[in-house]
Amino acid sequence: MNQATFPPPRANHASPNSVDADLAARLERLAASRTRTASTSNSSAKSSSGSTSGSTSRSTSRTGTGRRKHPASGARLAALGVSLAASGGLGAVFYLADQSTSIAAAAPSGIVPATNATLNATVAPAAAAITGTPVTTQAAPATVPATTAPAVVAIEGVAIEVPATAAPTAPVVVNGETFSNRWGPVQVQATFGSDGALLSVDVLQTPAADGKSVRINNRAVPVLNQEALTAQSASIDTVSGATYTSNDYVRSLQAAIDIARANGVTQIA
Amino acid sequence: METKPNDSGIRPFVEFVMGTAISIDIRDDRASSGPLQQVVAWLHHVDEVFSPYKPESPISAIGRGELSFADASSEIQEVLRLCEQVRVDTNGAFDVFELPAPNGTTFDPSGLVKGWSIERAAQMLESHGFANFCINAGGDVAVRGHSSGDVGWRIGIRHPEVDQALAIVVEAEDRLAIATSATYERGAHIFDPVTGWPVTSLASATVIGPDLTLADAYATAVFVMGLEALEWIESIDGYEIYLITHDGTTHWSPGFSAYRATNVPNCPT
Repeated sequence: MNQATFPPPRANHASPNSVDADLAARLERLAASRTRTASTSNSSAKSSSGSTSGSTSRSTSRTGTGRRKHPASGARLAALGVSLAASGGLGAVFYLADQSTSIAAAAPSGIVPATNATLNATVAPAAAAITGTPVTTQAAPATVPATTAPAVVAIEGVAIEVPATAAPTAPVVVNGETFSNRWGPVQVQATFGSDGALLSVDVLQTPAADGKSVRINNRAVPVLNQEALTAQSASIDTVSGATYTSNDYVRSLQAAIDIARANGVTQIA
Repeated sequence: METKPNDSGIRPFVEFVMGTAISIDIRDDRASSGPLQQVVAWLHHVDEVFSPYKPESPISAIGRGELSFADASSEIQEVLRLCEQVRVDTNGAFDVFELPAPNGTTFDPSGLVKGWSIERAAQMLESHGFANFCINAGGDVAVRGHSSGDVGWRIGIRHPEVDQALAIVVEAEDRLAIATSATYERGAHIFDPVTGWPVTSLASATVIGPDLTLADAYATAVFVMGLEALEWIESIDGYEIYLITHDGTTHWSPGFSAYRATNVPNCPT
């Protein structure tokens, strides 16, 4: 990130006509640059720079110099590198989770102590759910919420469909609809307590045709369990976050909320 | 997913389109499938017209310089004008002409189109008499009315490094939009339009305000600006921001505090 400043926006917006003219000019430059790029692709790339200024240009280059060739390919490479670096930590965590090894030690590493100590507390029981062993983290307070916390799900006049064979006090297991992602069919299964509390969300029908699928779905299963339990604690209707892909939706907290709602839980409380 | 439009007003409806999952949660007592089908058709139309992943889309044609502004459809012109407005408002931090697009061009309005299309979808539902609903488009949220009675919508903002945790919960009622930009889902895909390099100074940038079209685009711009956005947002009426840096510290504009939800266990407040 450079150190450019962002002064307040202009008080007077340009008139619609001049905006259209600017846009038309920018599209023309876009077309011109594409043509030029194509015609000079085998010659010196530098020869194409410095000739893109339009008469109505209002480009807001923060450097004050003419636009250079957009480093799209370089940016993509850099993005890949940064992405790998940024996601490497979590990836390692999930890899460890897949191997049923020491996620207890790995999970808190991505969390900053001090201000986020309470968040550590939400992670700890999730890690315990994976390893089946008690977990303590260095920053977490002693009051780690238990995954078997009292049910506090509000039901608004909608009865949960209880299978005929289930005893009134038994957990209710509800299967979501099956859909396919590029690794195969996936079905989400939610388990509710007899009082309507969302206890867990599991991924069924995880394809195991090749190693890649297994790895991806092993990652999806524990994450969904953790997310559903966290949603319980926060009493939320929905989640805002970076855009997930269709394939990643299944492991998102929003998916857990949706299936809970689809089964009559009007608020995950 | 083979979900069907619901007619109970209770069950959420999930549609996979535009590369993500869009969850529609209507809380009005009366609900019919007709408006939902109209919304679904609209979203798929937007995908066909505006997808930079589809070489045959008009947006890809614009990027290749094959379609001029004058020849573009009125809805494309509308989107381009909005993009230009945001570019000016953000002093170039949001610029759809300077991005490495999936179709190989440098033109990608996706950072505004999703929010714009969801805002339109919300207007469709309102025109059919719905007053209480929540649309979550892969992490970008638009709400209307209340979740139940006079209770506002509680919206969790995902923790950027612990995907089973929430960073904070906001409460919204009436008309409100929340959009979050971050790199934890799809890697470092947000680029500084001026330098062309991927931006990673923030872990998460959330914008809250009345209109998802602007909130979505502003979130991208704020992510590019980094902490300087705290000063910039003061010039934008009606919009507030909440930023999380990689060291776990959080920053927010003064007006954001009014949206913080109360009674949120396990979340820092």
